[in-house]
Amino acid sequence: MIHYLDNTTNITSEQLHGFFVGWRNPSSSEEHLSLLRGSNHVVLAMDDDSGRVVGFITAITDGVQAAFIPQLEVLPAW
Amino acid sequence: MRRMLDQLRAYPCVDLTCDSHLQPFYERFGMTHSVGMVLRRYMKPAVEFRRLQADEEDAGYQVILDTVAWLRSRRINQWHTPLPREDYAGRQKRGENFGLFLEGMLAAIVSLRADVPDDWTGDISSPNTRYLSTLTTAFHGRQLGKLTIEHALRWLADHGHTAVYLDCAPGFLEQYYSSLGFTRVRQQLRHYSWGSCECVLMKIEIAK
Repeated sequence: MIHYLDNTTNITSEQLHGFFVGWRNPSSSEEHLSLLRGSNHVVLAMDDDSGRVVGFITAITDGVQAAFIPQLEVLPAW
Repeated sequence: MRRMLDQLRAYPCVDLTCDSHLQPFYERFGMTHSVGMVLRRYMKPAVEFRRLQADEEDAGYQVILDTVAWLRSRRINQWHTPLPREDYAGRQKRGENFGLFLEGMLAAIVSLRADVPDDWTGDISSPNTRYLSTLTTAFHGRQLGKLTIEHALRWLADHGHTAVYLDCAPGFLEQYYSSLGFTRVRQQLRHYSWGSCECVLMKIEIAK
């Protein structure tokens, strides 16, 4: 089963593997966690069985008018 | 995506950029096509012709060494000794060494010199001319020489130069440069430390 989180409070870099498929210089798990924490909004898709993050989407905003969605990725197996 | 748009429901503008094949996916959430501009600092230009920077001089000279070794290994009778390192360093100091970069990788070098070899000084007078030498490619068989010449001529035209000279052996190389628009000025015997050879001075006028 999948459940969704809207924060990174209890997420560690160990739960972030296999993303940035096809990138020439993929971000490390630590950089991945850092960009999630630095975003104004996140949604994380969590696999209940493994406890791993299997999908994520981020947004950054000005707090009033505009929001931008830099990244959306789901692990290929999901 | 649905959950994120729910989080962002207070924002009148929600933007993203994506490849065109992903647009149908985002249309499902009510998004529409737009036109965007992006800067990707990690992406190198496909083709770039420019002066070699100080920390690129060694890489430029290595292209010469590699080519001399390659010619020798095939017993090709050209470039018997590499250009002395100090000569290349002198050109570097004067800003005469250039490189052709393909996606950030040095693919060819050329020197665009203000001075002229002694043998040709009587033939070249105008200060607005440059003498092209040491055209050397890091890979073979990809028309890099032609590409480098084209970019060099464009650079020189943009910087107010009116003509370019070079010299080469008669025969194959003369035909090669003729095919790129150079014309023969005259031929003479030139003397080098390793011996003598017939050389043809060639010229091309460059239009602004």
